[in-house]
Amino acid sequence: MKISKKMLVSVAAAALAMTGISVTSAATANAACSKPILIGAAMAQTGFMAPFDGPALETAKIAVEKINVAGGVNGCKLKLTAVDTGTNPDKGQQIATQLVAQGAKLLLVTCDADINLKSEQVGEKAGVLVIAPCVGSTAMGPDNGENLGYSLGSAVPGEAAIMAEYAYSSLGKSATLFKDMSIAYTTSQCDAFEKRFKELGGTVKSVQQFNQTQAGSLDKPVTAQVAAAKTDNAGVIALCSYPGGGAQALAAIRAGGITAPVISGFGMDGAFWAGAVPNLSNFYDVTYASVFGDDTNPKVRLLLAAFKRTTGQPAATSGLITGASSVEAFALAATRAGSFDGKALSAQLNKFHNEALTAGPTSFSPTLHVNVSRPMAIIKTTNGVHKLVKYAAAVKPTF
Amino acid sequence: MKHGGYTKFSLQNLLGPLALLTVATYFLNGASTSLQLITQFALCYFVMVLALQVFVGNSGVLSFGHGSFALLGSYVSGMLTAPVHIKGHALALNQLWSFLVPLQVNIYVAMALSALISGAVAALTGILLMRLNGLAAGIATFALLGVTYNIFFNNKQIGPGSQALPAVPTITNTYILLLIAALSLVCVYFFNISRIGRTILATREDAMAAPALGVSIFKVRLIAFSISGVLAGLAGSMYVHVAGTFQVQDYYLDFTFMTLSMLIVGGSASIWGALVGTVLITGVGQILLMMEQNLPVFGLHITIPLGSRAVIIAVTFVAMLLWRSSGITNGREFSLDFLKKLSKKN
Repeated sequence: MKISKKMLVSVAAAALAMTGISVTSAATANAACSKPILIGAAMAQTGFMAPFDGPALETAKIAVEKINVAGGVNGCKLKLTAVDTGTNPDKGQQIATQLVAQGAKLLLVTCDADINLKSEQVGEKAGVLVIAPCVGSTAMGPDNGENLGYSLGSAVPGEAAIMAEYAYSSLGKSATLFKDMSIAYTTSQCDAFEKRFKELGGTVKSVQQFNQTQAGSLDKPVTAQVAAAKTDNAGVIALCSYPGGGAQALAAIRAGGITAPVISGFGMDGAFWAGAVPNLSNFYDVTYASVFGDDTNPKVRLLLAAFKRTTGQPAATSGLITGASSVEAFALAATRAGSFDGKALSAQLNKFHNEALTAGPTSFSPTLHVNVSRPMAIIKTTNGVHKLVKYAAAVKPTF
Repeated sequence: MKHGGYTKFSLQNLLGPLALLTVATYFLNGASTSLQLITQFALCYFVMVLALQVFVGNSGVLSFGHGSFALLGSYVSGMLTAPVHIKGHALALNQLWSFLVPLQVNIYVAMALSALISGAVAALTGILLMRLNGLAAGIATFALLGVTYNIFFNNKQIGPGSQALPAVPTITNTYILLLIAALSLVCVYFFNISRIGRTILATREDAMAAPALGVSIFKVRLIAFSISGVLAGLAGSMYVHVAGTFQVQDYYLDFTFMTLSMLIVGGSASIWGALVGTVLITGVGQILLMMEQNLPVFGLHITIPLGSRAVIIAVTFVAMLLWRSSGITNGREFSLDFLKKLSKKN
C-alpha cells in the first residue's frame, strides 16, 4: 500500500492529539529556530545492548517524524542524529560530547544505567536533558548525581509489585521463586516480588537460584531446582529471568511436570523465544504492552504498525514503545517550558503526573526519575497463543 | 644489542618527546570539544604507557598486571573524591561499608595518595612476582590482574562492584593533565638514564652476564616494578577524573591490551616509542571511529562497516609484530641525527 503524505499528516496529527501534546504551529515559529532542534542519540546499534536500544531508537525516529509533520515543537523542527556506541561506555561518552558540541538539546542514551552513566554525565555537565528510553532500575536520578537524567522505562519496584499483586489475587497464595542471579535486574525483581507477596499474606515456599552465561544460556541444567520446586507444590511460580536461559528454565519447569501458573516480567516479553517451550500454557507476563496485535491502547497499535512499516519486521518485544515516549516527553516538557534548556525541561518533567504518552500514563517527581506507578500489560499464554488479560498498575510499588 | 634505550643524558632525547607532547596537546585540545576529550584520555593513556615502559620496556619482562595498579589508583581517587551524598545514596553503592561514605579529600591529594598506594601494592606484589622470568612472569602478572579485577568486580562492600560509581569530580583543564604527563615523562627519563636504569637495561640485554657483574636482577626489577606501579596508579587516577565515573571494567582486558599495544607499536625500549605509540593508536582509532560514523576525515568520506575499527587495529598490531617487532621508533629515543645525515648526503 502506498501511503500518501496527506494520510501521514493526518495520522500523525491524530496521534499527536491523542498524546495530548499541544504543538505550536509552524506559522508562529520563532525566529530563533532557523535550525532544527538536535536530538542526539548515543545508543547501541551493535553490542549486547543493541537488541534493547535498536528498536527503541527506531520508534524515537518515528516519533520525531510525527512531531515534525505536525509542525514541530515551539515552532522548531526536530532532527535526530544517532551514532553507534557499540555498547561501550567510553565511546558513549565521546559520542555524547560530540553531540552536545553540535548543540543537542536532548541526549538519548543506552538502556542500562551503568553503561549510560558516562554519557549521562556529559549531558549533566553541559545542562542538556538526558533520557534513557528503557532503563528498568531506579538508579537514574538525583541520588546518582543525575539531576537531568530520566528513564521512560517502567522500573522494577512497580513491575515486580504488579507481578506479586496479580499472582496473589488471581493465581495462588503460595509461590516458588526462580531467581536468575546473572544480572541486577532479575535479582532485584525477585527480591521485590518476595517482599510484596509476603506483605499481601502469601507464603514463599522456596527461592531457587540459577545462573545463565553471557551468551544467554543456562550455565548448568536446573534439574535440582525443578525437583525442589515440585515438592514445594506452590500455587504459582515466579520466574525472574530473561531468554535464552529463562526460556530453558521455563522449559525445564514444564518438562519436570510442574503445571502451576508461571509469572514473569518484561525480561520474558515477546514470543521470539517460544520455540524453546512448545505449546506453553498457563504462563503470565507483566510487560509494557502487547506486541500480539490485541493491545487496548490505540497509540501502541499505531506505533507498532509504524515500526513494522519502517523496519519491515514486527516488534519482538514491547519495550520499544519507550523510544517514542522519550521524544514525546521531551516535546511535551519543551512545549510547557517554552524552552529547550535542560533545567527548564527537567523542572517540567518533575511535574509530570500521569501524562498520556504512548508508553502509558507517565509520572516523575524531583526524587524519582523513572516510572513505578504506570500500568503494565499482563499477557497470558495458552497453548502457545498470547492474549492480553488486562492492564494493571502496582497498588504499592516495592523498593 | 637488541634494543635501544639511551644511557647518557641528551637534551634532544628529553626535549623531543616533551615538544611533541605539548604541541599535539595544544592543537588537538583546541580543535573541538570531542577532540579535547580524546586528548585528555590520550594523556592518561600516555602516563600508563610510560608506566609500562619503565618496567616492560626496560626489563624486557612482559606484564599484563599493570591494569591492577591503574584500577587501584582509580578506585582510591574515585572513592576519595566522589560527593558524600552520592556515596550514601546511589543505588550502585547500597552495600558500601559505612565508614567509606564520609571519606573526602582534595582531588590532587587523592591523586597523590592513589599513586603512593598503587606503588606500595606494586612493591609488595613485586616481592613475589619479580622472582619469575619469561612466560611464568607474564602469566603471574596476568593472574594478578584477574585477582584484582575479581575482588573489585564482585565485592559491593568496598565499591560499586560490577556497577558504576557516579559523579566523580573531573579535571576539565587539559593543561593540568599535560603538566602531570610531562612531569611523569621527565621523571621516567631521568630514571632510565640513572645508574639503576642502566642496570635494568643490562639485565634485559643479558640475564647471565648482569648477575655475574654483581647485579641483583630481583632487586632492580623490583625497583622498576614499584616505580611503574606508582605511575600506573597515577594514570588510573587521571583516567577516573577524566571519565567522571569509576567502573572496574575500564581497567581490565581492553585497557591492558590497548596500552600494551601502544607501547609495542611505538617501540617499548624508549620514551619516544611510548609517546609515538600512544599518539598513533589514539589517532588511528579516532579516524576509524569517524569512518564508522561516516564523518569526513580530512575532507574525505570513507565509510567502513560498524565494528571494523577493532578488527583493523588488531590486524595492524599483528602486521607490526611480524615486520617491525621493535616498534615504529625501533626502540630509539628522539634524535635530530637523521637531519645531519640528510644534510651530509646533499
